[in-house]
Amino acid sequence: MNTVETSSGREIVGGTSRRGFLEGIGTTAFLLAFQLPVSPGRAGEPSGVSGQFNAFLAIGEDDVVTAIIAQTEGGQGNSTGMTQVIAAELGAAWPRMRYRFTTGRRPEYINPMLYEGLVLTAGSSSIPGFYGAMRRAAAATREMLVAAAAKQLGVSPGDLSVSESKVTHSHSGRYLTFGQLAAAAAKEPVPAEPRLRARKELLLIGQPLDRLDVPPKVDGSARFGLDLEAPDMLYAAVRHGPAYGSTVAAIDDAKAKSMPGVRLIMAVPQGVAVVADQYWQAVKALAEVRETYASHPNDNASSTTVEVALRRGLEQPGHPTMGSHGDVATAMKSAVKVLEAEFSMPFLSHACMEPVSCTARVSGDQVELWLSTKSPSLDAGHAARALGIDPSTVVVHNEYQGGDFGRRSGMEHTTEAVLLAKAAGRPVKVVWTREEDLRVDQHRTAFLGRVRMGLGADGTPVAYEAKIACDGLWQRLFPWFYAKKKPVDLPMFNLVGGSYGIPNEAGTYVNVPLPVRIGAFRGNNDTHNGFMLETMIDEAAHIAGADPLAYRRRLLSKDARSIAVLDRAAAIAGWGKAAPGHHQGIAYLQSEFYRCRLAVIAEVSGTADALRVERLVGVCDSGLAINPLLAERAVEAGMIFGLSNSMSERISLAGGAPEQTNFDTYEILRIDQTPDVIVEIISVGDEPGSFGEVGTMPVGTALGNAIFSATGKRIRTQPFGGNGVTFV
Amino acid sequence: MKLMVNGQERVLEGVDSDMPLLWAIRDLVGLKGTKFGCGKALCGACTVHLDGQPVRSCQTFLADVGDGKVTTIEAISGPVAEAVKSAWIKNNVPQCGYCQSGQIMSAVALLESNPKPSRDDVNSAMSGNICRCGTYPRIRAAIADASKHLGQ
Ligand code: FES
Ligand code: FES
Repeated sequence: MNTVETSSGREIVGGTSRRGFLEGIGTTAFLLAFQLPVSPGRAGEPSGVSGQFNAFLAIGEDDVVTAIIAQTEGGQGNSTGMTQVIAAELGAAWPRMRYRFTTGRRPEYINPMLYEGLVLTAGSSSIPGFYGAMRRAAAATREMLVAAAAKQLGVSPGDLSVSESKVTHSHSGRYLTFGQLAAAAAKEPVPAEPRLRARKELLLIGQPLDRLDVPPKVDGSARFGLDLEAPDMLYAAVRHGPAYGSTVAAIDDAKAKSMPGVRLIMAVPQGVAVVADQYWQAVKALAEVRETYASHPNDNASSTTVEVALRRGLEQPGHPTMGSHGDVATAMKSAVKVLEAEFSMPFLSHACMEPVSCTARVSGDQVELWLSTKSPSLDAGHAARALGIDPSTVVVHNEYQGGDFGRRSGMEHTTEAVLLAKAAGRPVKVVWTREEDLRVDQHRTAFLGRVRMGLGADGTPVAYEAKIACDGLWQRLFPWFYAKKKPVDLPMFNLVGGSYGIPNEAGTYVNVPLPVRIGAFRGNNDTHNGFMLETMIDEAAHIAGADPLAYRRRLLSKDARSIAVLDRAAAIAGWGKAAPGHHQGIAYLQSEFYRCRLAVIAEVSGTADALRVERLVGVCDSGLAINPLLAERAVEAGMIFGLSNSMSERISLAGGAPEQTNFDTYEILRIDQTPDVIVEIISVGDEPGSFGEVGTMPVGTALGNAIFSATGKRIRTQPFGGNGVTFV
Repeated sequence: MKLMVNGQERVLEGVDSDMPLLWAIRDLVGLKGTKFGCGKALCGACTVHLDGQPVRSCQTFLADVGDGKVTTIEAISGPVAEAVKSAWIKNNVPQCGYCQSGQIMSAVALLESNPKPSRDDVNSAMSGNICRCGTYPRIRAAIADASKHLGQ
């Protein structure tokens, strides 16, 4: 873990930032829940690469350097970025670099920025989390290559330099290639503290290199979880009960069981499954199965009951959040004006283009899983818990993932696959239909927030009070972790205490257990907390008669990096100079965890009945950009994802069940409503930050502020579509 | 039952004629480049060409295919397909990549019938293909590049 802390450290939890906070977590609680999640898998674990020097790289006799990637590729390009870091530190020629994924659960693969004890890809932290470790591994390998070359050339190591996959004797020009040296170098002692290259020597860092995973994604050869197969496998179709937690009471399979190809019909924890020779046979037979479900308290859940619960939540005392400071009550009394408002967001589904699936083989004490997963630790844990076995015996296979956005760990599907494979006595591939994928998601929490902002005589905020009611991600996804941190949970972060330096702030979080499964979702807390703050700041600017950009500039004037992203975004967007009939809105995001400052400007045209999003501009400084092309595309993609969320997406509940079941009702942004998007990356300093999800966080708010400019309507409920505007 | 896929005749054993082409291609023929996204002709991930026309293979049934010629991402070829694929590579279009087979099959079909599509033409021809990762601006740029290249 690179330990350099940036910026103000305002996100305080018992004296540490969220970054530091998540680092310092012991493994004990996790072990209680999952037992030995990071123990190496058994023989057959696909982690060995020949010529492997350490956890992160291997060198072949053909000069090819293989970066070994334990972080999963959900689409943001981390596999290319991580390969680039290793090549830069090692001194490898880029065309000789390859990468391969591993699902090995070695301690080196535990992400130090996240919940300790897990091999997990989350929080846009692949590169910031492993930058130091990858560089140390590559530097140690480089020194071993140099030591071997010095012996073979009969020269002093100090006279050798490493670049372009060669170790070269500077004076004579003689050199040996990595491939020629690999075998001898592997026998050299591993240096404990290798010298890291200076920034100016890291020639590949900062280069906009092409993504390595593009060709296989263009010719159809990239393999996603749903494409992986076990030998001799059967297929399963699954249907889950209406409400989260439903269990099957009775199954009538009289017709289905004699249908062609059907091998097995059985209840799974939340529904019923048909296993057949072909997937289509399973789907057809499942359509003929009639099951009933035991009554469950969630059966009566609806969007109305959720709203009532959240509203009741706001009347509870709740827990003060990190970042609260000063004396809000007194400051509010002294304020010239106090703004009050309420904000809300619905449940969302991830709707990854690749629906959920898992293939399992359970044979005696041999268990293998094939799936798209963000965490082999978690999925091995789910499988082991379902079978009552030691998770270290579970081998996980994973290649590319067809989207992640926080979705890819699979309590339900992994559990179903192993139970069905065990019962069928043959490997089984469970494939969820899109309907199951959308309905039985780990949804983004629904959210309700109430805020007050007090303005001083000069129009700037003197007090900010924010209270939110929602469900908690740590509590629901990582209960063993939450047990230690309670009542702290992710929604509390960045609620108050942000970059504007408001002198008095009070945040309160009320946890409201909601009747669907809740999980991580691209943007998480920063999306809803930022929606409130940045909308209020916009409103305050209007009340103060100030330009929203100038108002933010004034509040952030002490931080040159904030000003830089704001000014650059304004210049690109032509802030204040929109074409006739076009209207702009701005939002700003600053996050220490992501090392990010991001300004987004949305431009719209038309009226509330027919509003068009014309353009988005984003300028992002997340520290050092290892690969500005990857960074730019990740921010762009994140912005479009957030745009879709805020324009049209909602999961509503009736009878305990999500009402949106496919893309006709769960409306995802399509190309015809997608605006032009311009993203610029400002690379700063020597420590990389995060790009993968930051774009998602402020974009809806920028759109809301643009809608206000265009229509005079302040819409505080997302999605905006259907809540006061219609998009065309 | 027989199926012509990518220029080869495949004999499929024990299949119903109401089986969607998608599952025949993926599970029986074993070509995994064609993707399942929604099963209801709502997302375009499963797009293949049937006698040169783009179809959603999840809602095209074996009975409808008859002796029609199916082409998938693995075998799409010709000047338009090559131009599209190189434009996709040059523009680094994919994020997760899952939707991209379908996007490319739709883009090739568009440019085959309309070599110089306007932005509106592109938007309307491609609006049946969802990309959850939001690569739409890159898809537009790549199609424009391919069109330009083909016009030279
Ligand atoms: S899977 Fe066929 S259109 Fe979505
Ligand atoms: S690239 Fe991921 S869905 Fe399009």
